[in-house]
Amino acid sequence: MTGTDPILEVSGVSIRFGGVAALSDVSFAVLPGEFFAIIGPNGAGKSTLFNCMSGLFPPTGSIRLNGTELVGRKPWQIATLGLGRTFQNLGLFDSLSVIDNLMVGRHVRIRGGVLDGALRAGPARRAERAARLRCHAIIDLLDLEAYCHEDVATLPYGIRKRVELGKALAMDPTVLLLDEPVGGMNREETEHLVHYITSAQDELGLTIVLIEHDVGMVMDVADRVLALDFGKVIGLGLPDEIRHNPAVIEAYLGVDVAAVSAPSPSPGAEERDEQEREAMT
Amino acid sequence: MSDFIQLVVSGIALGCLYALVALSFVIVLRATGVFNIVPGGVVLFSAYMVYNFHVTWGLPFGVAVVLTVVLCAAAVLLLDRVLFRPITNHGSGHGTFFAVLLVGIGMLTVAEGLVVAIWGSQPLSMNDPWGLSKITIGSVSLTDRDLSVIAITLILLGAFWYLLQRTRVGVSMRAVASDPEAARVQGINPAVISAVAWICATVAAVLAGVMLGTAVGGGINPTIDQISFLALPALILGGAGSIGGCVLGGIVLGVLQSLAEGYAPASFGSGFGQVVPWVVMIGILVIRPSGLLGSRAMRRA
Repeated sequence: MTGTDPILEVSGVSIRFGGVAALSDVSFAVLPGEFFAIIGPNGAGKSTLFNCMSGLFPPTGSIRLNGTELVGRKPWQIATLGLGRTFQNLGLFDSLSVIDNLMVGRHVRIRGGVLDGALRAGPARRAERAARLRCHAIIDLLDLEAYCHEDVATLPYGIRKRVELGKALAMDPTVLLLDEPVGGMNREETEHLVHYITSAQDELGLTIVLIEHDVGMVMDVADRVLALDFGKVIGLGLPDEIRHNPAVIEAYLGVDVAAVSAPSPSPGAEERDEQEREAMT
Repeated sequence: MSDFIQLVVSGIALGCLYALVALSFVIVLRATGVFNIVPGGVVLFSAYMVYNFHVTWGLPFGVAVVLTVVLCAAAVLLLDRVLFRPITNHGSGHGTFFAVLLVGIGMLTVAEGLVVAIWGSQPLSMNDPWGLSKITIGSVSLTDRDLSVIAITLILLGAFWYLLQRTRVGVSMRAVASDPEAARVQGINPAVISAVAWICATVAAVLAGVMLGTAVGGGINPTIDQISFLALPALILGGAGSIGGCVLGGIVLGVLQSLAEGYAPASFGSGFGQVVPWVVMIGILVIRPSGLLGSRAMRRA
């Protein structure tokens, strides 16, 4: 935590789908340089929250990035303002090579119109070359050199996850939203990716907001943790505070949060047993 | 033998027209994810508009073509904005696909009616800008028009290939075709991409319409938009979604059609050649549904 004014401010965000309140009055603030994690069981509204931030869903309430209101803006405008994101199920462009996947994100940083790009006129050509250099730097950072010119469709899952991270980094975001970046990975792959995320954060001075099921991993790396359940904030604080927050423990089956590392199923009512909860706390 | 070569060359020229129309479909399909038959209407209108500007008003042929491209592009962008984008914004999947297809077919019918209302139903003849002169090589005589069609098509295809493969807009278009949602959060405005695609499609369709309209003997008539249906087999044969596939599919079908018209016994009837593309398409769909150069991009559509 390096600053005092929040770089990302979410206040009173709500959204309903049909009769279901997917998010109810969610508020929190992320400080510049922070590694901020959002946890919660399946269906808690974590990805919905990301979709609201990146403009894919229209919530009520306010989301501010560096003081600029994001609610009501289009996704590509929000991207240009410096909010990058990855998708849980990967948002890769399968028919493009790894470098072109990164270049897509880079294009928003190239000034000049469509025709400049098509004709490759002087300034556009220089900008294109600078963009390519920048993408190669990110590829180096993520150790993806060997796959640079391969179509992403042909790559193994773990590598694709890393390309997804690189694609978001290529946009030079000030705040990076990571949606379950280590989902579906084993312990060793998870450690590798966490290493890439933290070194990217150090090198590029990023603020990171991460959604994760893998609570153990979150507790190790996050500065602060927000816990959601049924679209509501049930806890916000340092990892240790969240670890001992009764509401969070209840949401996670009454199991000691620190011990949970595998994805937890959504708890049923009968599992939220008084006895069980007492036993665990 | 010289008959054979002449038939093959005019078949290639015909195939180039199929390829241009198929290309206009593919570009829009890739950028918007939805098949749209409206470029067929552009083929029809552009032939009449060039006739009107060039023959009736006496504007130079080149000016008439450029003016037609500009007007058609404006009309098509307007249609996309007020008609097709609202439909596709409401949802995706089969319902949207059919809605757009049916609206497009309806508009083709309206376009044919409008053309008859404005220009009448009699075939019109454009002062053939390529002339009817023939180039004779040995015993083979080729019309200027066939050679122009082939040359213009190849130049345009080269330009489109460069645009899609080598430029920023092209990479963005391919990104949108691959994952529209991810492309949006990477800072790509889909409205810009679909506008660029519609303009490219319009250029291809206008050139196809003009070249059809100047066809030796054929001329302009209110049903030349039917080529948009004959271009569909080319799309399928080549493997929808790729530029190379359109060209290959179009040319193969054009040559087959031309040879069938040249060699089929008279008892088959005069329209036999036009049946051939469909027979080939049905065969391809059964044997090799992804087409000769199948592309993954089609999966989304």
